[in-house]
Amino acid sequence: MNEIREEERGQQVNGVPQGANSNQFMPLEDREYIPEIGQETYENPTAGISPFTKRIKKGAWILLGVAIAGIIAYGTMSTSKSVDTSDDAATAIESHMSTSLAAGTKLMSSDDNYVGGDLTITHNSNADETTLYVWDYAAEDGDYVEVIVNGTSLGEPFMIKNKPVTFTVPTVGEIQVIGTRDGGGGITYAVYYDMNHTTYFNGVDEGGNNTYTLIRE
Amino acid sequence: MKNAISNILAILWFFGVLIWTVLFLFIGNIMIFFMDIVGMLKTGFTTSTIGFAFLFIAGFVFAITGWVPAFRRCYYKLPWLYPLSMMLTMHLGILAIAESILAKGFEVISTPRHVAAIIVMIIQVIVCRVIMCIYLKKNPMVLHKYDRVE
Repeated sequence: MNEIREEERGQQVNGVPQGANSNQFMPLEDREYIPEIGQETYENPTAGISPFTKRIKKGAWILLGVAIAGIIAYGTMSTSKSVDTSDDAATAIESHMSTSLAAGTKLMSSDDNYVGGDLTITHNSNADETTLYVWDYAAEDGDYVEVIVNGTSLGEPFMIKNKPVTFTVPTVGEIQVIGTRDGGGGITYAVYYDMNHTTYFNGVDEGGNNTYTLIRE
Repeated sequence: MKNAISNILAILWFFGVLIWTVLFLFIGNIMIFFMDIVGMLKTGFTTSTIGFAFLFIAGFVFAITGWVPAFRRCYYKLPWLYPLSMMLTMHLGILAIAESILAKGFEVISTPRHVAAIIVMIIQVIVCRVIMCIYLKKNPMVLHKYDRVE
């Protein structure tokens, strides 16, 4: 290191670093530092703003932008909802059915291993088709289901979330919900039929299925 | 006196918040990669994504550290801390985007969709890392040797 110092001293005139390769190092007794950084330190904060400080301040704005972008992205992509604690929701947990709760209602924060069964739904809707909403009414824990209408799959198995997925289905026939994957605690899902404005909170094991038989009165 | 108070605040901020955020980021980066991304690739099923939530926390804490003069002293005392913070945040950002792409692609059990998601994720990681390299080449993080005691 002494040799390097001697070399540095040799390149200086009157102790001032010269040339582009000098790096402006000013050797002191037992340390060396870059003067422009040393000017604004914790010992001398009132001196001119160093490039390092400028960089930190500029970086802080960038980081704020990153934080805002992060929270917007998280909020946009998150489909998780808060648990409905109303009386209607409490009743729905017992009856596993509701005509007052909206599609997408979350009843529980975690899955309860509930295994429901097949249902026969009688309605008086004259429409040929209706909208079916499917969602996870408990935790978004990676439960996957597949919807089959009269023996025909409506698509590949998909992960159910608190935000409902919609399908157009006939008002008469058989609709099967197959439990493809249990993310833990059983596959808890709910279906809402637009034709009778009713939600059915159901559950199924992995590999099992629930059949909804739709009959017009 | 003012200097002493500022130093105390910097120490409190460093040991109370900053060091935990850095550790949190280390663990977060590892978790997102090995548990979420590799986990999804292994199982074929999506998981809940946490990258952007981590990014918000990290960005917010580091931004405050840069703004508040007393907290900024942490960076003066430990010159490696600022580059480390920025690098970890950049890594986290890249991983968070990758995780989200994969999670979106794996929401449906469909091989073509899975393949497309993996390809898009790989392209995204490469592009982001190239951008990161260009940025760091233009703005190197190794700024100075602050106090080189011999």
